[in-house]
Amino acid sequence: MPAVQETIDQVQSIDIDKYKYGFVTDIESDKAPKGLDESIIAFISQKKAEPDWMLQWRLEAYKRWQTLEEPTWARVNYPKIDFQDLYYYAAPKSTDGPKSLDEVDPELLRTYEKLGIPLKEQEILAGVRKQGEASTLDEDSLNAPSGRVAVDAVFDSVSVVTTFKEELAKAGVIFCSISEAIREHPELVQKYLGSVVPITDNFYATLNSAVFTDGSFVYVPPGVRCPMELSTYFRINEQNTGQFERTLIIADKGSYVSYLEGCTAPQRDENQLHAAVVELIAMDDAEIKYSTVQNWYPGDVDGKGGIYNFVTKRGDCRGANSKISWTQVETGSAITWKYPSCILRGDNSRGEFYSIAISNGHQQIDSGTKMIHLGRNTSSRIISKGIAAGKSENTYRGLVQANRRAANARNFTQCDSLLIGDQCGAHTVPYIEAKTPSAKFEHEATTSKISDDQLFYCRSRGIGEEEAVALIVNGFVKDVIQQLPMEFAVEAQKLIGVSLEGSVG
Amino acid sequence: MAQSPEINRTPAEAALADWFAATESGRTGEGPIGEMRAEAFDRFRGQGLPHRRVEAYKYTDLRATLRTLPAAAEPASREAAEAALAAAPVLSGEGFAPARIAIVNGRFVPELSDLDGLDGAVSVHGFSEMFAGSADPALARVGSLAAGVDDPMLALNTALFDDGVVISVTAGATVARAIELLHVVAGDAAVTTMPRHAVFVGEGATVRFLERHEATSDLAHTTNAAIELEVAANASVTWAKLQAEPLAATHVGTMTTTIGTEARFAHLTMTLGAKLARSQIFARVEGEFVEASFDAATFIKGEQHADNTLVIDHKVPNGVSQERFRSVVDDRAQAVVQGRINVWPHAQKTDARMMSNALLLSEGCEAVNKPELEIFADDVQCAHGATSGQIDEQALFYLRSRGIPRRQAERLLIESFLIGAVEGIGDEEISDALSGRMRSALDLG
Repeated sequence: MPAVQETIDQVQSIDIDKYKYGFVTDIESDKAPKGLDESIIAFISQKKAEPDWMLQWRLEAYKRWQTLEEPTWARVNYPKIDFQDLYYYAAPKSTDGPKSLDEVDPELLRTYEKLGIPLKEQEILAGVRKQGEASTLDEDSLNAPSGRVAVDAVFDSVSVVTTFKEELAKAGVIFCSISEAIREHPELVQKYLGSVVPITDNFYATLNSAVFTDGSFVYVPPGVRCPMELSTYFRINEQNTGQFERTLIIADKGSYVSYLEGCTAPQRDENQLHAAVVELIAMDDAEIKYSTVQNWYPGDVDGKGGIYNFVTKRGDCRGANSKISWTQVETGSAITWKYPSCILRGDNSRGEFYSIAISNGHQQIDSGTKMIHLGRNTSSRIISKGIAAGKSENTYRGLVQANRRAANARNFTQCDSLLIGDQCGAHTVPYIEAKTPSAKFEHEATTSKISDDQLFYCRSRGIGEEEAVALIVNGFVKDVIQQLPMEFAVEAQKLIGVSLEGSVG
Repeated sequence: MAQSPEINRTPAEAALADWFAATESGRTGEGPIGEMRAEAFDRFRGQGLPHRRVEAYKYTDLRATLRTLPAAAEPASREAAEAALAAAPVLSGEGFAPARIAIVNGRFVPELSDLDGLDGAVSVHGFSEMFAGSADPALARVGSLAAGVDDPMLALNTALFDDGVVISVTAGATVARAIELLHVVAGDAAVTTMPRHAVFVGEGATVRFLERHEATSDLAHTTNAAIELEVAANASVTWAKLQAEPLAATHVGTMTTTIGTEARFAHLTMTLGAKLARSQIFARVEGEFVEASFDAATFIKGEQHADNTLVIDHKVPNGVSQERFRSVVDDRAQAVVQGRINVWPHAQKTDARMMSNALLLSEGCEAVNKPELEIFADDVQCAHGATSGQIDEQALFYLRSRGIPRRQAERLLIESFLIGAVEGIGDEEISDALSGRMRSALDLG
C-alpha cells in the first residue's frame, strides 16, 4: 500500500494529540529564583542539607560547565535554550520529610494515582499483579513476597516518597533518594558518584552535576538478589522548570537488581528541559537490568511545547562476569538525545541494549548506545527498533568499539527502522571500531515500510487493516518488548498503540 | 568547529595559500573558471585541511598527517615522462590493451598517450590546451558536476588544479576499447600533484574507464585528484580505479558523479598503495530506474591507512544501488569505510544495499566502519551490514584438511574474499587485470 493516502490523511488529522498525562497538578511549591549562578547552586545544596564536599563538587562542575559549548552534532533542531530562563529548583511545599505515606500531600498521591502509579503498597499488590501469582522475574527469590515494586516518586526537583524502604533494608538493599543518600551514606556516594559519568563528561551531564536536585540511589550489597523490582517515577509539574535528576545504582559482587523508570509531564506550550544523569556500576558477577518507559509530553500537533530530554546514561561493568542491560521504550519528548552506554571493563562482562523508539508528530529522536569493549571476552548485543510517523525524525546513533586489549570481543547489532508516511525520516549512524583482530562484530540495519505481503496475508485472514498494522508493528518490536519486566511490557505495548494511533492505516 | 587557519595555519596550509596566490593571476585563472577557483579557495581557506573534528574526516585527519606539503610538481621533460610511464607496472590480462591517456606530474601528455580507435566517439582535450584558446563547449561545464558537494579537498583541487583532461563521449557511441587514465610522477623528488578530469558520457553511450595511480619510485608524493563524471540517460559506464601509489605517499581522490535516467554505472576502487589514502565518491542518482554499483577492494599492511568514503544520494524514485566494501588489514594498518545512503523525500521504491566486511589479519591493525542511512521516503528498501573479524577458522581447517598448508590456505581465503568485490565491476577484462595486481600484492605480503 505505497499510496497510503488514507494513512497520510489520518496522520494529519489525528497526529499526536493523544497524550493522556497532560494534566497539571495544582500544588503549592517552593521554587528557587530563576536563573543559574553559584548562589543558586548553594541554595540547592543548602535546601538539601548537603555536606560541604558535595557543594564543592557542584561548584567545580558549574565552573567547568561555563567553559563548555552546547553539542550540535545530533540530528535535532530546536531553538537555543536560555539557561538563565529556567527554574533549577521546584519542590512541592509539603515534603519536609514525610515519615509515611499518610503524611504525603493527598494531592500528590492523587497525581500518581492518576498516572497509574499507586503509591500505596496494597494498591500495588492489587493493581500490578494478582496476589500469589509468581513473577517470572522473582523466580530465585521464593522467600520474598512476590509481585511488588518499590517506588521512588520524583516530583519536579525532589523525591516525594520512597516505598518499601524498610523491607528492602532487611535484605540490606539501600533504596532512597539521592539527597538522602548523600546525607546518610556519604561514603558510598563519594566513592561512586561521578565515577562513570565524570563531571567533565559533556555539556548536559556537567550541568546536571552542578544543579541536580534529586533522583534515586540504590546499593545492593554483595550476594544479594534484590527481593523486588525497584522503580522511579519522574513527573515534571511546574512551569519553566528544568528537571535534573541523578540516579546512582551500585550492584556489589554477585548481586542482582532490576530497576524501572517512568516519566510524564503536563501539556504545556513552552518546552521544558530534562537533563538527567544515570550511573550504573556492576561489580564482579553482578547484574543490573535498567528499563525505561519514557513518555514525557511530546508537544502538540504543530510541534509546540514538549520536553527536551537530554540524558546521559552510562553503565560500568566494572567487575568480571558482570552484566548491564538497558531496555528502553521511547515514545514521548519533543526531543530525545540519549545514549545509554556500557563500558565493558571487566573480563567476560556483557552489555545489552534493547530499544524501541517511536516518533510521531514533530518529535525528534536521536538515540542509540555505546558499547565500549575494554576487557577480554566481553560481549554486547544491540537491538534497536525505530518507528517514525508523522513529520518526525528518528535517528539511531551508536558506537561499538573494541580496544586493543579486548581480545575476543563480540558484538551483534541490529537496528531496524520502519517508516509510516512519507514526511518522516529515519536515519542510522553507526560507528564500528575494531582495534583487535579477534573482535567479531556484526552489524545489520534495514529500513523499510510495512511489507505489502505481510499486510495482505493478515488481511486475507480477515484481520482489519488497522489491526493488521498494529500486529505487524508489535511483531517488529517484539525482540525488545520481551526484554521488559512484565509490568512494563504491558504498558509499553499500550503505549505503542497510543503513539501510533491514527498514523497506521 | 572550523578553526580559523588565518590564526593557526599549519605549514602545509600556508604553502597552499602561497600556491594559490602564485597561480591566481596566472595561466589558468581566466573567466568563469577563475571565479570558480577563487570561490573554491575561499571555501577551503575557511575550513583549512580537514581534521578529526570534522565529522567526515573523523578517522582520517589530514591536518595532522599533512603538516608539510612537497612542492608543486613541474612539467616533466619528455625523457623523464617516458621513463616514468615505462616504469609503471604493466597490467596483465589476455589481449587487454586499453587506450591510454598519460598523466605525468598531474599533466596530460598527448604525445605519450595512445588514443587509437577512439576517433569520432571520444574527444580528449587537455585543460592547458583548452585554456590556451580552443573553445570546447565542455569546458564551460567543468565544475558544474562538483557543485553542491562541500568537501575541502575537492575545493582545494578546484582552486589549484593546473591540468588534466576533459573527455566527451558522443551520445549513442559504444567504445569497445577501454580507456586508461594512467597517472605517474616523474623525477627524483617528492612533489604535490592535483590533476582534474571532467568526463561527460553522452546519452546511450557505453564506455569503460580504468583510472590508475601507479608508483614509479618510493617517494612521498602527495596527490589530490578530482574527477567529475556525468553519466547521461541510458548510458552505461564502467569505472575502475587502481590506487597503487608509493608506500610513503599520500593520496586523496574525489569523484563526483551524476547518473541519469535508466543509466547503468559500475564503479570499483582497488586500494593497495599509499601511506595514507582516501578515495571518496559523491554520487547523485538524478534519473529514475538507475542501476548503480560501488565496490571497493582494499589490501593494506605496514603502517598504511586507507579510507573509502561514499555518499550516494537517491534523489528520484526507482533507483537501485549496491555498495560493497571488502577490506583486508594486516600489521598495524587501519582501514576506514564510511558509506552513506541518502534517500530524498519522494525517492520511493529506492532499493539500496550496502555491505562492508573487514578481515583483520594481525594484532595491532584496525578496521572502522561507519555505514549510515538517511531515509526520507517510506516506500523503500534500504539495508546495510557491517562485519569485522578474523579468517574463518572452519574454512581454514577445511582447506588444511585437504592438505593445503596454512599460509597458502589463508592466502586463498583472503583472495576469494577480495575477489568478491573486484568482480562486482562486471567487466571481465578489467577484473582480470586488477585481480592480477591484487595477487601480486598478496604475494609480496
